[in-house]
Amino acid sequence: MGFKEVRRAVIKALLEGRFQHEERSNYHERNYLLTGEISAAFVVTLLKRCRGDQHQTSTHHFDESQIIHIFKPFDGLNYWYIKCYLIEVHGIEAIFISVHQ
Amino acid sequence: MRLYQSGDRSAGICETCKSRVNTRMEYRDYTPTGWHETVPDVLVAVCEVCGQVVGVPHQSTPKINEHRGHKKVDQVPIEARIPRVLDEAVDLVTATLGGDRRMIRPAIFRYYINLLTDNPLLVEAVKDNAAKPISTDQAEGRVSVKVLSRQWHPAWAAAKRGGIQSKADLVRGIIVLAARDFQISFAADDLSDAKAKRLKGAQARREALVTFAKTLL
Repeated sequence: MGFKEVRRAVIKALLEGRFQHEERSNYHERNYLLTGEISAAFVVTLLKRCRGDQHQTSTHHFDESQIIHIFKPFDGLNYWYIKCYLIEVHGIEAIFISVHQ
Repeated sequence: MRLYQSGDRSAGICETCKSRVNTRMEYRDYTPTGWHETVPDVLVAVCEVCGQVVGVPHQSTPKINEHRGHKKVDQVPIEARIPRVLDEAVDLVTATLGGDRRMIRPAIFRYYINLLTDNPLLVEAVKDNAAKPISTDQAEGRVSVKVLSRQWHPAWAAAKRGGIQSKADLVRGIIVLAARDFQISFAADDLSDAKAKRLKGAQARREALVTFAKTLL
């Protein structure tokens, strides 16, 4: 999946409420979307502002077959860090690991 | 909008099993990482192999947020001197919406400020409105509103990109736009220019604000 395809899938998951947050014991993986400090609509806005060169991929630490997507959009003042992956369970769901500035 | 229910199956990557696993939704007491407070009875995704919490569905966020405590909310104060007629116009929009002035008035500004982030046409309309004689009249009124900083900064960046020079211009332009959306006419200033007529969505904005205001009553 290319950048635009991934971004479209993550936005669709956010709009349709098909998303979860991964439980991490690592406090550095802050997730403002999980704690309700920002809304799904705001993350959609951030993703729409994200350019292709602000997106990168890696693999999941515990499952190398799972591709992790990292988006680093700029909101006009700060860069955001959005780390998530997509899984197929009765349709595509997004799992967010980290959402913070 | 997907609603996860207790017993629903999903999948995730379990930190304990260190692999992809099937999960099952269950209600549990849940302590978010780094928190000292436990949120009781929250729907979470539990690993079917080891029983540890693997994930949290989006709908559990409000319950978690309720237990976030009274942490200081990062807000930006917006202060502007405005012509008295614009002050009256905001109050007329507030009266139309009904409810508590102290809640409705700031909500009107926050609503329009949020819209600016992704709408260059609206930014242009606000800029044009701020230059109209009715906006540049003697500033004897005052507006003071606090906006969440994460909402303010992208909106202000979009406003500056669109050529809006000051927060006062932004506030004045927004008031004229709101007045136009609510079909308020200013006797001293005809706002029915052709460019403004091309700006769509007045009814949608009005209806959205009316609906939003009802939730604040």
